[in-house]
Amino acid sequence: MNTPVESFIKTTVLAVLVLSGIALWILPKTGFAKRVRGSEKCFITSQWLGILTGTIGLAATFILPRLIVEAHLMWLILLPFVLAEMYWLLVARIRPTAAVLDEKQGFDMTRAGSLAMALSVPAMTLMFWWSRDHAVEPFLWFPFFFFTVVLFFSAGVLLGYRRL
Amino acid sequence: MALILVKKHRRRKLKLGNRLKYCRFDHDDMTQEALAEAVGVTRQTVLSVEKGRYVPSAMLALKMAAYFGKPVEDIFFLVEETASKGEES
Repeated sequence: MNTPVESFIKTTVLAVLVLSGIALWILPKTGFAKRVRGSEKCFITSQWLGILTGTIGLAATFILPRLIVEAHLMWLILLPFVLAEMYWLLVARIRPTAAVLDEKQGFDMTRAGSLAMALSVPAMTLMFWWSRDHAVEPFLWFPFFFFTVVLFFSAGVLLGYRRL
Repeated sequence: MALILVKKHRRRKLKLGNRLKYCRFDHDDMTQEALAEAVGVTRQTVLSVEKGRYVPSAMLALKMAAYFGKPVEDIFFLVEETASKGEES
């Protein structure tokens, strides 16, 4: 039986994902396609959204542990970041021959990916130590790992890009 | 002789220096933004290359050289890490 909060979150996430999926399919065929382009501002905004998503997600993992998994709050928090990534997919779809990211952006993302993976190990180790003294629900490991990686990745990209 | 040079280079820490800033100034005080647009990258990439924080791909270095109408070695060159600060553009 779904609670009202759970139903609201599920409906919102599903509606936004379906609508953005339709937009991804329809927009390249309309006049709007000319306006869609990946810019430096979009790139930086996407990374700031990642930092925001990661921070809010991590805070919610500890403050609202039940809501984050059982009421699917995790997916609602992730939604803005997912939408930003979908915009990049749209750019790639509309301009298949042009490079979506420039080489420095690609380099920063690769380095940030390695950094996020490397830093997730000590983060998980800290969580493991912390969990020995505190009753941590087993289902919280995934959101913790996920939001940690999103936060470290986006922060790593912006650090490499000298915007943090 | 070549072997000695290779060994000598291995011991020294080298980095890529550049004269991009001078090239831009020679080119009607061109802005980083304009150069970025001309070679198809972001301004941040041009800035990072100029400051020596990012080593450009061969493709980008060649594009920049072609844009300024100069051989690539006139713009990009190897410098020793310690001497690089003074030589950088």
